Amino acid sequence: MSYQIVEERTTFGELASAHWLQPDGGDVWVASGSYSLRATRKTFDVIFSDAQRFNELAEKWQAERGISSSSTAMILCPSYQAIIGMGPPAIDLILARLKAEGDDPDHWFWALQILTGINPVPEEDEGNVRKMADTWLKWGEGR
Amino acid sequence: MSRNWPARELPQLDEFNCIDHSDKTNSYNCIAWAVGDTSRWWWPLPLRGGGNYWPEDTPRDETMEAFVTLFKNRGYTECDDGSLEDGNEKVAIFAKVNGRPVPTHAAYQLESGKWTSKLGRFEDVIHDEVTDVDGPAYGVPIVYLRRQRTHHPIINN
Repeated sequence: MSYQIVEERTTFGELASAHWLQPDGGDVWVASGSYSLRATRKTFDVIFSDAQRFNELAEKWQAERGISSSSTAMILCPSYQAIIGMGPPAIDLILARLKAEGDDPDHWFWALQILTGINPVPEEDEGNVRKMADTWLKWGEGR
Repeated sequence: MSRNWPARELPQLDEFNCIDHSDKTNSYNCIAWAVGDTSRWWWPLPLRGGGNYWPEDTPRDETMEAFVTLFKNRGYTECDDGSLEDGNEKVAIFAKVNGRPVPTHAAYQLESGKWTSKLGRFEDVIHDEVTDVDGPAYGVPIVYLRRQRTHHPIINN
């Protein structure tokens, strides 16, 4: 997956803000403020690296899980485990993806539960992917 | 409707023995489909939550025994095969046969004698024979169960 990086500079040539766009236009990552060029670049490189790795793993997961109905098989896929292994940076990336998936959210709930250590989904909504996605997105907005 | 599932995983399923019945969706899986629930994904993960529904009346075990119990608790009893019986409906529970059989899939028999399967996160389909979905992904039918036909709450038999 490739990204378009857009930079805005001050009249002195310093990087004032920058953001990047995913090819589908779905997610926009923004950073701005009084960063020095080097600091901003470093921040971007870290976030960009996480986002790129997450997207690659998420795509790989689609292939690895195949037509399995088993949640156990799904969450034990190496790519899904690697996403969990990314730690806290994966939380916002998963939530952004969950939002982008709209009416057909994917099964990110186990990863979110492990990464956050909580499960905000009411017992009566367990298994209902749309309701679970809504709950997690609201949880994300309220952090 | 387009077929999105990877064909290599269901090598026996083709345009001659299978028709699509739905669009692909993450909302429900084969177990949910077999019991007639298109609002939830059913699977017995050992811990509560994590995105799955599993009824309280059934052990949270990924074993044939637990899956058989799931259907027995819904009025089914074990039977010998997937032949069409007047007045009865059947389900088949699949597993891979290398080592201890771990459930992989369930299919439901329609009144016509054909079968219907939800293919993971992909479409649900109607196929001629229960064994049409045999293959590397699901293995083969291990257990058949039957009960008096109640009509699937969603699919038109």
